[in-house]
Amino acid sequence: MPDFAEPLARLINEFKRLPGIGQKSAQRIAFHLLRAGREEAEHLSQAILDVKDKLGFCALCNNISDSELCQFCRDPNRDPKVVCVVEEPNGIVGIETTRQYEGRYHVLHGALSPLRGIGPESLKIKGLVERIGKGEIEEVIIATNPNVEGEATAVYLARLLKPLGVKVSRIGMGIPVGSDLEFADEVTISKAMEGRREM
Amino acid sequence: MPARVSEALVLRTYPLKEADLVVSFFTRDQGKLRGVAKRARRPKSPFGAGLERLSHVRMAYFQRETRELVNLDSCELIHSQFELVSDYRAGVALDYLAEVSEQLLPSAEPSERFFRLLLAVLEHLKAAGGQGVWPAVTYFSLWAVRLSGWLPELNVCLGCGCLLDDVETPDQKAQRAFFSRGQAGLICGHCRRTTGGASSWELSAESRALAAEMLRTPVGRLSRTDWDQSTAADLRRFLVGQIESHVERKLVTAPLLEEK
Ligand SMILES: [Zn+2]
Repeated sequence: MPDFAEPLARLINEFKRLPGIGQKSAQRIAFHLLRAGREEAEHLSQAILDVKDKLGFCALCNNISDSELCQFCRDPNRDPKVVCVVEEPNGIVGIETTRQYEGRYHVLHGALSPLRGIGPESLKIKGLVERIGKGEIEEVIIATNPNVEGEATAVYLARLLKPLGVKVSRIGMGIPVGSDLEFADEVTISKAMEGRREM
Repeated sequence: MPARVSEALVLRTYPLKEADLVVSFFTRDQGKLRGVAKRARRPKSPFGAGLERLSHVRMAYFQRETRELVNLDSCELIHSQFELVSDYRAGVALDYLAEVSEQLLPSAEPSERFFRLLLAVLEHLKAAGGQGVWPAVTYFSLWAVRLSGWLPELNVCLGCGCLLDDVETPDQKAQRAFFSRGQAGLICGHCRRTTGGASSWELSAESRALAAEMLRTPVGRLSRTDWDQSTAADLRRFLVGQIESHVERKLVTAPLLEEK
């Protein structure tokens, strides 16, 4: 690594810690900011601080929010009878890109993983049970990740929620679009078969 | 950069960068290794479900003499444990097996007996489902401690050397046996009183007899079939204590496994 002046080296090092940014990109961004006006640098640093200071979690669904309720829980056009359960707030982003889902969300902030010391108590499950208890929710769609932790979480939630009288469904798992059946393993194919639909 | 293919059991994974995983896996021929699986968290990864914990796979990887981490190329699934997830307790049991193996196995030292132990226990879990959890984890814990060379005599007092009892035929005069944290074996009731072992637990004669049977019988052929959580719970506590004191850390999965 070339020898940079200390403040510049420090900035490059900070950028390198961000996901997806290596030495080259970190240098490019740092030099860009060096050339840019003071105002641009201030906007960036203020935006970063605002994310830390002004954002909290939605009181209803635990999504990231800048007010008591998040944009989805506030929106009267979203169907309150359907709730999609995701592991992390960024799971919502994935589902929103489809523009097909019109219900609301619930964020667990994790998945069951005994290996990482995460049991049911560590997840935001209580709030979901309370929401169901209020009687507005009719269907819960579990969209935890298609891996062992996500599946264990889904199984656990289904056992817990079904007796409360709601319909519980799990998003389909299987062959990724654009890939070849020949290369899929037994778990992927058996999950795809499980989730098949009539045409 | 030689390409190798090893039969292996995946122990655990850690996320690395955006889409990669560091994988700890136990190969039959080379022991426990660590490697990087590039893009393993992307939908079309060449690893599929093969990197879930305790997947039994044929792992293809590149190994460089000078590097601690190998580069994982792809894997072919032999057996997956995915279906066991439908039983919550069995899922926790799998995590426990993975954690204990990860902690006990030294790097790059093959252990055919440990590999066979894991395969036998996994097979039993698969065949017996949730019913098989308690014999499977008890059997595994006992043998894992034994294969690591730390299993003390279960019928001799560590304090005075007296015979605790003949576990095969427990009778009225059988000595009681106790254990406590950080102590490498069992002690008799007399030594427990004189050393003031207040924070000790009893290892019942019944559990010691079960342990003796487990040391000579495959897990699928144990005489007792009506296991529940209370069966040999004292033995598991003793064994977990032995493991924890040797690896000098707490097992995070052990309390979750024993949760009611
Ligand atoms: Zn909300």
